[in-house]
Amino acid sequence: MNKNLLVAFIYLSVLLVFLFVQPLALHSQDETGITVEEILAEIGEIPSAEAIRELFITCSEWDEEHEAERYVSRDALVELGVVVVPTLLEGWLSSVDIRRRIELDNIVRDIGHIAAHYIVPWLQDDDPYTRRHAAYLLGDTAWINILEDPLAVGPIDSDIEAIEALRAMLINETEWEVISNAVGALGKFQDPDQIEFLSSWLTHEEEAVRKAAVLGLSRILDQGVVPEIIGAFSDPVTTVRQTAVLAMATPALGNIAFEALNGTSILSPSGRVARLCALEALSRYLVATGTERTEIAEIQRKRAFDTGVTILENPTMAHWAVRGYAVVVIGNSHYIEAGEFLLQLKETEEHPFVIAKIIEALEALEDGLPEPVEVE
Amino acid sequence: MARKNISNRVNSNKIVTLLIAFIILLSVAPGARGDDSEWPVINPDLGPGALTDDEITLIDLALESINMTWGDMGFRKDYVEDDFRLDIAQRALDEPYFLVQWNYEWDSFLLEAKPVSEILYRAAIDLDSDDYNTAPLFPSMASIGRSIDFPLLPASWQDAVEDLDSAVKLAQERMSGTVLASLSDDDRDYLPWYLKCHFSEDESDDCPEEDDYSTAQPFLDAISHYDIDALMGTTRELAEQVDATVSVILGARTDANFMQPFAIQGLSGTILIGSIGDDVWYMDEWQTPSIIIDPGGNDIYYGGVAVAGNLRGESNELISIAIDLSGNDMYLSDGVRSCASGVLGIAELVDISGNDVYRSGDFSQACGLFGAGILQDRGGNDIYDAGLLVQGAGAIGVGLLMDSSGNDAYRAALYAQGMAYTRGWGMLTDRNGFDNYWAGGVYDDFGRWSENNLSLSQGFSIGMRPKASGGVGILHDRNGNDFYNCEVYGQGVSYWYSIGSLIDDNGNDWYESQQYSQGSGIHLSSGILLDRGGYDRYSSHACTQGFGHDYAVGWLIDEGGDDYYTGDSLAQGSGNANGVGLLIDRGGRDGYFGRSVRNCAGHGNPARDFGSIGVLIDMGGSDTYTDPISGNGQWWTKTTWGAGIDVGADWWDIELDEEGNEVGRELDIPGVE
Repeated sequence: MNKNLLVAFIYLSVLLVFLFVQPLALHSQDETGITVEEILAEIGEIPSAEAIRELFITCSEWDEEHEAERYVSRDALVELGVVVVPTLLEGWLSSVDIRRRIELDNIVRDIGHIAAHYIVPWLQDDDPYTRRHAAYLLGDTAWINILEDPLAVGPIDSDIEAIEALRAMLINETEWEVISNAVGALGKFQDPDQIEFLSSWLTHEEEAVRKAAVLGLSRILDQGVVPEIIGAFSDPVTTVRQTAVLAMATPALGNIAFEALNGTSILSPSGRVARLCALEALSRYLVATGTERTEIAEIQRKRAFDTGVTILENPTMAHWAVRGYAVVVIGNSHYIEAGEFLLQLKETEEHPFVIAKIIEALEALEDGLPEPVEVE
Repeated sequence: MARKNISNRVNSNKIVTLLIAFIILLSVAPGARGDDSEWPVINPDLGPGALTDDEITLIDLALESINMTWGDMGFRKDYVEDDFRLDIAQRALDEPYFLVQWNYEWDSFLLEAKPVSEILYRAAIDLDSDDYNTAPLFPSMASIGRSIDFPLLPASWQDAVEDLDSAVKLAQERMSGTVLASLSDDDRDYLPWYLKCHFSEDESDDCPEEDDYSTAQPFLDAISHYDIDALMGTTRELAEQVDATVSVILGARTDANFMQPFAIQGLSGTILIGSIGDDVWYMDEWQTPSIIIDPGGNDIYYGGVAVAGNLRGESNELISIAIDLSGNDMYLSDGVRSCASGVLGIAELVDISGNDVYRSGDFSQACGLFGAGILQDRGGNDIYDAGLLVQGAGAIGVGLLMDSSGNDAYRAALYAQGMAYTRGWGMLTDRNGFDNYWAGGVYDDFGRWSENNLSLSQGFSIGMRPKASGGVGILHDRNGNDFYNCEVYGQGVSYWYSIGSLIDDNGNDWYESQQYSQGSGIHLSSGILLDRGGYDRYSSHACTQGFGHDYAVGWLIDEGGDDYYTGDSLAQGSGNANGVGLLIDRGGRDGYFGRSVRNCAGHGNPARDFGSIGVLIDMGGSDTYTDPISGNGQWWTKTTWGAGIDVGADWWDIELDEEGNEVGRELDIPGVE
């Protein structure tokens, strides 16, 4: 090997080690040299409540003074595991201090489903704010979180206590903020058996509860949630509709979502609002699956194109906004005939919104589909 | 990995899936075909003088193009409750158009110069005070009679000064007997030393180590005890009497031929009378006055003037009035509160004419903190320089700075220039002249900008998150080409269930800031900037120019002229983290420049699994945009969820008279029925 090349290689290696290893080292050892292991050794196997509190305060002080020790303290608490949970909940579950709340959530989330047992009693606390936070936090203990697999299906046995506690709480709960958090949390266990129960909250008078129900349902990757979420396209409040649109636009629900969206775009149950939601979700779905080159993906693009054309050729669906969103669907379909169809449409279209969407779609078609992503 | 799973599943369950999909379609669309003609139009409840019908229509259309209505902007934003929320702060979030209406109503009200008492009357409405709609809380100040004669004063002054003395005496009694009596003994012990610590981050040993993320409960208790209705009623009536006295003695100013200052004793305490010459007042050499009247000369005041109520270690009167009838005066009190500083008291300073210099410490120049501070400067080119909670600042009280004319310069560090805190109302209103407003330069913006400072000024209000909502801060400038400069937080902005408003009626104005500015609502709050004319420049780094962040609402409305809007990101009608932001420009050749192209000019960011709302409406003119999706005669939607409409030249039906002058126009969008 050329000597200069070898020297350059060594320099580069040192630089890379410096760049990548240093942050890791900082994370486990602060500037004062204290390590997680040393903290654990110092406080022993059964830490005192005082020691736990001290560590938590250190990790939840977001200032320069504590910057160096924050992450080490946090890691130590997680390392100690479930033994710290009762003390942390006692101390800060009711806190309105956003730093404490966020750090408490982070630690409990990392400790995982074994923390649930200690959170459940707090669902019956007299203070609504505490119940609200407890419900939220309980959702973060779902065992399925550790899989980090968007297609996994829950729950496991150790989640049952939390699920039952949330359901029991919801029977008598009257505060909408608490209900919202509990409904959203319930969805995090990704339990298909909860679909019917969660769907019952879609008609609640409070918009935040309905939104949480959509969100909760969207977390359960089961085809049973699709008609329920689609139903929320007709909700009178935009936040609920938006949540439903974004939930349906992800490819996680598979082509069952596509079928429902494609159908609702034409056969909307409640008019333009729902139709526009369906069209928007469909167009976003097509973008999200644009990297796929499977046969079914190609078929879906063709069918989405057909849907767009059907809408544009149907005088009963002639509203400009519907036409505009149909154009977007056609553009995002990248179907081979899309460009020619849109160019013809541009000749006759008069509405500025639709014209803008045609131009936008033609530009997107020119750019082509995004590069496919290699899958294993 | 996920994609592979999807594909495998799709391939293996193709027929089953299609069957299920068919069943789903039947379930969600049971024989239905929606009627596209149905549309839940919820137009705002409009009053006269606000947005034009065409603007309303265009906002309506922009919202429709993102599948929304006016009503949709009112989605729930009150996720935290407290006992201090003003009705209008809540309503501005529930009905974003209400903020516009409220703002125009204030502007309309201030079209003609108004006396202090009338402004305070409306302020009381904003503060949900009972003072505005009930019988006066107290018997008329004029009815209490006079018991001391002032033979040293000219006859033409005597009744007016006696009336003022009596009114101040009565106000003192009300302040001690009702307003401050509403506080508990603990409150009265606590507030005089705590207030300074709370607002100025005093690091002396006396101050508690405050946690930025929590608010001392005793402070909140004191706020809830405080009788702000009585304060507003007393301040309003006292201001009426001050104006009445000023009116009389100003007309008879030349009758006062005093050659040197002197003191007399009134019902209310010591009354200082100045000479017609150039007086130099060393305030610490005089008995603390309840009233000062200086008839003329270029005077210099060293130390606190019109200082009422007491922080720890002070010994002021509960009510303090200062009146200077003419001359180029200097009010110099570096580091000391002065010039209408009402802290646990009521203070008013009236300077009738001359080019004046006001240099004060914190809690000065129309500061009301558990009290009221009113500063009227009725003429001259003036310089105002002060610290924090100054220049029309109200916190648990009211601060009003009125400058009638002249080219004025305002400089402050923090919490200034039409600023309010919890249960507070603050206004700076400047009627004429080319004015300069600076705020910032002192208090670090920790954790955000290492080289910038906080301003929290210029039509700004803030609450104490998460325990207490804020108040109403208004900066109103009637005429002149004005320059506004702030750093972080300012220019028609609010934070935490408050309202911040900047209104500039005329002139070619220049707005400069760093972040959270120019018609923005930050964290469950509302802000508006209304510029009613001129060729204006708006420049800011980010989170600005009709911007709503985190369940908040921001409006920027510019009624005309060739304007330039520059920003880095989240600007020009943008919503972030479930916020609502709108920019309406009524016309002219405008430039909309955003470095982050997609994140400006009608843009929304998603958060919490739903979106935000950003709308930009430009009513005409040949405009320039950095985002190619925007342009003249363009109508766009983008991101999650943003929309914009730029009205094309051929979108107007213009009616001309015989001489070819435009007499009317009607919006007629091609292709739109």
